[in-house]
Amino acid sequence: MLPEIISLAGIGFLASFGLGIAAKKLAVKEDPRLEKILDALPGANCGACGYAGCTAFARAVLEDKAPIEGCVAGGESTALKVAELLGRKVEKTERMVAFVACQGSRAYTRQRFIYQGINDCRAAVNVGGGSKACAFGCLGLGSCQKVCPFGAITIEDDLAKIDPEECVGCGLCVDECPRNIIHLVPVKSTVQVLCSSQNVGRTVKEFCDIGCIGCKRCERACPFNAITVVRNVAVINPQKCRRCGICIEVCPQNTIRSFLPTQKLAIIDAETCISCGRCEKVCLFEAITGEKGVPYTVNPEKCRGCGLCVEQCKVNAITMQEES
Amino acid sequence: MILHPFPGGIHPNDEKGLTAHLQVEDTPIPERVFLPLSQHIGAPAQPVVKVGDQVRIGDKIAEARGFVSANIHASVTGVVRSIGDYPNVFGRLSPAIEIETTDDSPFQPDKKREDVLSLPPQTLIPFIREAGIVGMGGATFPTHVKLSPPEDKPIQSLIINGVECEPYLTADHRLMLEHPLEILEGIVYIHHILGARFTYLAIEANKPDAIQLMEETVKKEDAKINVISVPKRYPQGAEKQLIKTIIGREVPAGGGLPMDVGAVVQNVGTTFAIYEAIRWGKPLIERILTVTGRGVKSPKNLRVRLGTPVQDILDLCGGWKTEPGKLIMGGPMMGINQFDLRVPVTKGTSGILLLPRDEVGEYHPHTCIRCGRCVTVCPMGLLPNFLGVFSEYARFSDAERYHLLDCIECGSCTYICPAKRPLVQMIRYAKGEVLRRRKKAANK
Repeated sequence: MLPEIISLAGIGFLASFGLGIAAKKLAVKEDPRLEKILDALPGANCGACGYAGCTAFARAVLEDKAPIEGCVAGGESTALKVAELLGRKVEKTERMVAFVACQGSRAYTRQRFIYQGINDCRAAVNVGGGSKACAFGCLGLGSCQKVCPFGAITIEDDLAKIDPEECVGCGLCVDECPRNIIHLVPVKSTVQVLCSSQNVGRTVKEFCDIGCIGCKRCERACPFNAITVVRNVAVINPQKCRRCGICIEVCPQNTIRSFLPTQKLAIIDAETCISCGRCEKVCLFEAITGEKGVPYTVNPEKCRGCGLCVEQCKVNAITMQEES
Repeated sequence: MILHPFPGGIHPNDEKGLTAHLQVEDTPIPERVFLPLSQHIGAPAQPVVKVGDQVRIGDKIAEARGFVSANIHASVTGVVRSIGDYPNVFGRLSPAIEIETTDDSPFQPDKKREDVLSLPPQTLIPFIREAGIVGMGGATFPTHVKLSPPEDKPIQSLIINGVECEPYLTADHRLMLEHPLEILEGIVYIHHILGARFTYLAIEANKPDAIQLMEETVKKEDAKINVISVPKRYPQGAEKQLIKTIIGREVPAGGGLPMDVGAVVQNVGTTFAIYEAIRWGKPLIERILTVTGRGVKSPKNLRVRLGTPVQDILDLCGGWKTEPGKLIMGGPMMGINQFDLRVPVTKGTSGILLLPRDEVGEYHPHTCIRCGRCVTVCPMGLLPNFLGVFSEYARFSDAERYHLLDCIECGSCTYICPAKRPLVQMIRYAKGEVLRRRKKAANK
């Protein structure tokens, strides 16, 4: 009994001694910040940053090869956390989300033939160019859904829908879509043209009930010159758009939609207002009225929440509020 | 002669009885034709006419852009009405030249060229290139390219392909029965160009009348051509399979060409077109095609002007007899489904097949049951079962390692699969993805 105990203890002692030396001598020096950065990253390993995964990205950030704000999935908050860890500053980035520029669901867009085959858009376009009549329409077989690592895409009625809350703007679906109708847009640009068809209006009407026919009514109506019709389809410049929604009203095809949760409304603080009248002059919708000496008031029926008056007010009396 | 059968293959019902006995009919000249600029493999042709121009039949209206490209000629006399997007065989829009017919005069050939065989071989190739001839079996590869092998690849065997293994189609069969002398002369011209040691004319065993007639013609004319009856099996008429059967050599995998094994294969339709181009200076403006299937009122073999819309041909054949099921350009195995009757006949259209509704199966694919039947029928010796699974699970680099790109898309695996898996579509999809990835990597 005793020799066994001694020999086992001896082996244990020797092994631990060996391991102890090995741990000291062969230790891999890992930057302690790496772990912390990894904790700050979302850990989805989506690859949208261009690196093989979160660890590779974290290493690249430490070596100053990748930008701090490189993590698309984590967005601004992650960038701030990483910057804090490294004691650096980040430039503010605008959160982008993917957006499907098509609303041609089964009810609105015609099919050219009955497709039976692999349930995948990229495979379906090889068969006669896809069954949906419009060559710029969403096929709705879910190639984008499969590639999305965040589960942000759902398919309803042959149409891909992206949840802007879940979407992190990694752009994987943008590359995957064989019809090239998914774009990255700033999350704040809530007025969107839901069509990508470069066909002329007559052809669009043949295929679809709610496609952009390039009539340019929105282009003419937009008070901020934010809309241009390029290759038969309206394009909204998110930098210029103020989400007033006039284009939505003039569009004969209901192609332009607003995704604002609620309409915004300008509110003038009566105590701060100096009745200068600048806001009345700038308002394009005649929503602000008033007289000299009396605080100006906003007509909530007419205000479209464009915010032009806020910029004009010298005393910061106007605030934008969500309409209840 | 000892044949070397290729591995695999299938035996679909050939259904050629519907049209095999019918004489080729001339079709009336269509009111307007739509000639796509891309009727061949390679760069699309460049239009050389403007809207409003008067063109005579046989005039060149679009010029080959580059070496691997082909000229396009007016197939009617008329006025160019438009040059713009028009539906093509692949279900997409592609640029095409529209000509409205003003005059139904037939093509007036040049004076017959008598001294063809005394001309140096290389001088014959420009005639073929000018005529815009492409492989008329369906692959539409420009013929002048095939006939200009590099000097380090001598051609020993010239194989004329009269196999026509696609079920239903009888266009090549009728051509051999009705123009044996012309085909023979075409073969002599090609032989003159290539200087091949052996010349074969391969005909599938299910066309005994054509084999007999060609043999008699060869004997009568005392030509050095071996007429070979090849066993009936699909895809016997595929280029690589035909080479294997006749000369027993395999075209190397991974982008090998027939010339690597010293062979050139030409379809009989192409041979006939070469004869017409060299002897009469006639460009490729019409072709023979089979309108067939149980869905069409009167099946026919027709000589059709290129660019004729399918609708015109359908009207000529009495239209649908039954409830429409599928309309396929080409044969049932490798043809392309159509859903637009404006689509024009092009250089590669060997047939129009109308299947009634009750002949069109609806399939609900299962998972692979590992029976391996696709492996036994694959004429390229690939593993379609694995390729399909790799494609399903987006493992494209694995698929590439399993020689995905060597698939000829003959459809034998899909035909035989008891689980009704769309294997060819899966493979085609994977091919697209592999090429897309390569392109992406090249751009980076």
